[in-house]
Amino acid sequence: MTPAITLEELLGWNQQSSVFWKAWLDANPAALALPCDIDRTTNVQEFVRHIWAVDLVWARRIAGLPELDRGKVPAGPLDLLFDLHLQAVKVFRSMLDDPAFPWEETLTMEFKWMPPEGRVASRRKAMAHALFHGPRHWAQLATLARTGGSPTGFLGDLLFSSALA
Amino acid sequence: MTPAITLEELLVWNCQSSEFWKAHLEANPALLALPCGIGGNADLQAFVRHIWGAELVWSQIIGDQPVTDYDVWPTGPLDALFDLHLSAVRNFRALLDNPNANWDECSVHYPWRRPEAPKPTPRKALAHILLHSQRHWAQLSTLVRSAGFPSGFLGDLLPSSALA
Repeated sequence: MTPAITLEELLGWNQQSSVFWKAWLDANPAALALPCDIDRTTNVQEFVRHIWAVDLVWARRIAGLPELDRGKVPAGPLDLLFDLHLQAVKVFRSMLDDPAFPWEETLTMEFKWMPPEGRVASRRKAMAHALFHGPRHWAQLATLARTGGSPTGFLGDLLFSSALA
Repeated sequence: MTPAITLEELLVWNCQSSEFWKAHLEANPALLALPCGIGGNADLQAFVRHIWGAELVWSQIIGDQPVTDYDVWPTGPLDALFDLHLSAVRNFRALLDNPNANWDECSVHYPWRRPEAPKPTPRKALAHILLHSQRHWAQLSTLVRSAGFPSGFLGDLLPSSALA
């Protein structure tokens, strides 16, 4: 057997991280105004918007749905931003539940920032990418919140997740 | 087929990130002295030591080997820290190459495990440490950029050649 982490398990970890941050930001709304310049954002709310919007962008892209109109992504409040994540999870789940989903079929991206050799990816890789994107950014956000004077107690490592044994 | 990412693929991605940062820090050694509060580390060199030292410790824990004590890890220079990563990779590869490994037994004991925390499987423990580094590299990338030294690090899985 080749040891592996299933996309289902990664989705579970991704969701747990998002649920943590939704609850923490609900309880600490002032943190949404903390300055943040990661990925060209100006504050934490925009950064969180980026994380959850990207969840949905990739979910739709991998599923072959029309591209998300980024101009229609809400700027807030937090509940609406979290809804982007919830919508993404529904799309991710629909793909995982489809026994005929073509995971090895490739997508071609036109990102100028991406080296040309990285612009073609299987749907499997694209979904793993999408599911890791959030946890990497949550790690940055945990640092940002802590240095901003609001330590979160976030345990973002996979070790602490119940998504897999 | 259950869609999944293999630990072999995660290891390759992990190695690519480490090689990027080794090269970047070699080319920009002043960065190693940048202040860093992540994980209680005073500066970036100590943070890199944490990332690569943790890889070695976990590789030993999962492989049921004696664990190198934290106090024995070198504090530098960068080459000596990178050796921690290289030693870990050798251990990871030995684990992955072992056809008799039981990846799904909840058998991994780590010394700082709280009594109520379940023992993870070797599969989870290896995925954890391979991703532990990736999360920290993301933090490090922000840290150096905020200090005025953008690295150009493309840390996402998408640009990696570890899988198609």
